[in-house]
Amino acid sequence: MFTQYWGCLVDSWTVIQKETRELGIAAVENRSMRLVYLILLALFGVILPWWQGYGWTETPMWVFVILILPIPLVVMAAADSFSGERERHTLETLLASRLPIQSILTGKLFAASMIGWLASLAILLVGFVTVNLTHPEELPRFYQTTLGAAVLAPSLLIAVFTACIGGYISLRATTVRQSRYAQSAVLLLILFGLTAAGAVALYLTPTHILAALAPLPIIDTLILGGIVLAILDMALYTATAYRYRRMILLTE
Amino acid sequence: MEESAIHTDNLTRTFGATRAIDGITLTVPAGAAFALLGPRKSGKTTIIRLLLGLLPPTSGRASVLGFDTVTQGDLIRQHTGALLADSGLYTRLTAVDNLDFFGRIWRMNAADRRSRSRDLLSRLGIWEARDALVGSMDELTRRRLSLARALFHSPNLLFVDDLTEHLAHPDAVSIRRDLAQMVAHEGVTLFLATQSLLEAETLCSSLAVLRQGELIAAGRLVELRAQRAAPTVEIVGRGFTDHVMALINRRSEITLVRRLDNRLLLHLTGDVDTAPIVSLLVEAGIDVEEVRKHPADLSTAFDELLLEEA
Repeated sequence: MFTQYWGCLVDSWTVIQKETRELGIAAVENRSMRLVYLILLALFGVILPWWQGYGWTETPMWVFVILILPIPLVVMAAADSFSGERERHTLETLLASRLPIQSILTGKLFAASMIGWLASLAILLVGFVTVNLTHPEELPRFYQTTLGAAVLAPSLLIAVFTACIGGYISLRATTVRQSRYAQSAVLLLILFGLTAAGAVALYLTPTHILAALAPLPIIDTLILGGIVLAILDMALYTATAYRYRRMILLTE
Repeated sequence: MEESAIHTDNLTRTFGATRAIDGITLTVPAGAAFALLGPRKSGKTTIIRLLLGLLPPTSGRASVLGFDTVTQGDLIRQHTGALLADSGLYTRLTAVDNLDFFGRIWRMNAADRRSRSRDLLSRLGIWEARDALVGSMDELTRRRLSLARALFHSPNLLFVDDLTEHLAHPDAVSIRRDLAQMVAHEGVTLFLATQSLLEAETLCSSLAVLRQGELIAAGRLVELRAQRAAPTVEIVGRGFTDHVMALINRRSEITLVRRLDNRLLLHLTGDVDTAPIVSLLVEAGIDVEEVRKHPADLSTAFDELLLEEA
């Protein structure tokens, strides 16, 4: 049993290495991907931190940014990794290899999520440098470390969630562009759905329960959100793994 | 008894109402070079997918290298190589990076991957292109690289689908020669799905003919040529009336008659004397301008096979 899992991990690592290399090259060579990276870098790494000064590191705005920033980056990476394999006619050869299908899926999901997530962190790091370079009159300020540590896990889980959606959609999307559009539409629907559901829940929840929840600190909220996200990720990974099979990939 | 690399028993695959593969039974001996010959959409790719365990059959069964295609697909893919219609190469990576990736898939160590890359690329004459991006390569180099990729892990059996589809004629000739040399050098069993009889004749010793998912002929090439291929006589002239056609059809040495405007194409039972046929036509009032006799030709036989009841 252990040998089987170890073998699966080794195979996933092989896929991760290939995907990371390909996605790295795509981020430089692919015009639309490069443009999105540059816009996000300019906005959240330079313009907003410069404009807000130390407020950028002290207000919880960056927490929100680190939670949503991985989404567009992972959408691009997942579309390129999953649907790109079909668009560039390499999928069938990969499926005809000895790689277990779970390793292909896990490797691609891991690579897409990590690339999107790490790129978001890098952009945030550039934001820190910008703040301190453009406002040198005070001592260097970093993001609040406790809050930073607490937000990392939910941020990564959002990246994984986005990648799982990408993997699921890739079963039907034949091109990278089609996959990007479909992923964006599904994520927007989820976002609007959650906002609407939240508003309805707030409206329907009795006031004494709301009063009890109101003082919940931001870190506790993040931990709670992280647990919900972890459950969602597991459910979505299971659903994607169930559908991600050689026969389905070849015939649908 | 000869050991078989592939054996199928009444293999059938349907997609909705379409029977893509219809009750195919065939055996490919280990070490053989076998061609599956058929026109586009005749089911060749589906058979390869079934044999690789990528698709389950609707009914019937198949085994490859002794492994069952339904329950042991992973073991089949472990021991086989596949050179499919698309090269399957990553265009953003270099030649060596592509081979390295596939070597890692088959868990080859770094030293083996390096030496195998050098060996295969050198033998295929593309060592100079080792650091070039696949996206910048011409079609022939790319095809050679995909051949190296398919053989990289030293498989026991190589599946090849539409080897020359995207290639110009001279390149097609080159890649056929490369494949023949590599197969001989590696001692691998070859299963070649192709639309080209020339390719099948050049590379393989036995073949099966597929038409609309059905196997319509199978055997060793020499036997098929002896059984199916017949000499033909082409007669150019005027006055090929229905009465003349009826006279010709009665001749026992003629198996098939085709009238094409001012030409008559006669398929003969063997190497028979054609003088009595020409005399008969002249006596029946035909103005014979020219008579051409063609030797036995498997290409014509193949065309006839595909046209029969199609």
